[in-house]
Amino acid sequence: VRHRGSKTEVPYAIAVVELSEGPRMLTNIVGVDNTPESLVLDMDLEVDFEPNAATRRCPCSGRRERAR
Amino acid sequence: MSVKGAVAIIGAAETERIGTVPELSALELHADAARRAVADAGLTMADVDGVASAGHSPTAVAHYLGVTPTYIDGTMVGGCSYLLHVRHAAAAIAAGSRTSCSSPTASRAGHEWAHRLGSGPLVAAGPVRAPVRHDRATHDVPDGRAPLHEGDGTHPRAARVGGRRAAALVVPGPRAKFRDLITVDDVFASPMIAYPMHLLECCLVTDGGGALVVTSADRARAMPGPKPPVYVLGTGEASETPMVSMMEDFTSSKAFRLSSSARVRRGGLGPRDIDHLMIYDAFAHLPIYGLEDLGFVGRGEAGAFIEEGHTSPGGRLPLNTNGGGLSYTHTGMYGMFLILESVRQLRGEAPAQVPDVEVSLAQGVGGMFMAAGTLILGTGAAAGA
Repeated sequence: VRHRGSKTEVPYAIAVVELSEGPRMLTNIVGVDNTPESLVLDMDLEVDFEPNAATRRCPCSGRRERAR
Repeated sequence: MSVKGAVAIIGAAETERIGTVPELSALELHADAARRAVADAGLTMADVDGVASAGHSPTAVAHYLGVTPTYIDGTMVGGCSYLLHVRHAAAAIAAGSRTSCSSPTASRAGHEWAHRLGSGPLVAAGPVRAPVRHDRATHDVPDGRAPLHEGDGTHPRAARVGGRRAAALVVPGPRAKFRDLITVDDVFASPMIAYPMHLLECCLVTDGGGALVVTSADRARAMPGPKPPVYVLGTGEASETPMVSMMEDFTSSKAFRLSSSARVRRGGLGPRDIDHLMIYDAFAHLPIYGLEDLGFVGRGEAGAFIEEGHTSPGGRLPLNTNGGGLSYTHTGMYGMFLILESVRQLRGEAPAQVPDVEVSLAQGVGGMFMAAGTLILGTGAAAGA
């Protein structure tokens, strides 16, 4: 959880996620409190996309909803 | 090929000033360090035939120094690059020395080439003025967090690495940026930068540099300088990944394990032979990785080892006796300062001198656990010289 920065709002969470296909990647965690208590290891996540400054869609990860 | 004792560091110096040096450019800092190291060796720049530099082009550095080098190393793998430069120079010198061409009278082309490898400043560590601290802290979150979640209370101990170090330096060197004792409470009271790293668990951002002069042991003996030679007893290097997120194991550095392994460094020395230890502490948890990955302690034991005082002066393995990247200086690439403190300790001229240091190990990290370099250095007695 990064608490200092100039480019975006802080704090924000950076995580390594493992895709179901196997590879690992860096991502932000969205929709979850940026606290160590909420950001537990081995959370079940799903990919989301947020527009960034270049209007590209940047992958991020949110908690997987049971219904999906 | 073994380099054990075949190569020596005969000159070593930091820039005249470290810390905040706004009036000097990176190139001027390179030159200041190189000139001082060459003078420290009792040589002049005319004696120098090789140049190594990380980040800044060795061609530009050599030209600025008035040197036309016939040995050039621009290896740049992050802050440990200087340890790799020593390894590469040692390998080249050791290879040449098989043909006895370190004799100053050698003149044939092949011999001359090897002879010219005999001395060269390994010019290092320019200034960094960009606010890299926070970005680096961000990058290190994955590797910082994983071991802390193994539930053994490592975090307070990680903080104590910084606190312990400063606390241990009752008479810290006058050149250290942080000279006051830093307690564990101070660490936890400092602002959170990137969980779990507080401000005082992140390295300094300073200007400065350093340089070494390396030559063959034969030449060091034949042309004794003002300072006792420090011998290269073992060297290693490795890289694992360009991205910290791709580490095989967030709780252990494969590059650390490989660069320090007996297979890579080819020296006969092991953890029990080391009297003094430098581990690159860009962040407070790095010494924990170093102690465990290099086999000084078992997995999960480094925190307690530090807490029990074994790494403090008076302990059996004094660690980061210059104050480290956390308290002494950190120019963005700190590895040169590891080597310089090892040299000072082996010469017996360190501000926080450890008694009877015969063998010192320096472990560098490059990038965010991207690469690693290991140097084992020793006195003449340790080298059998």
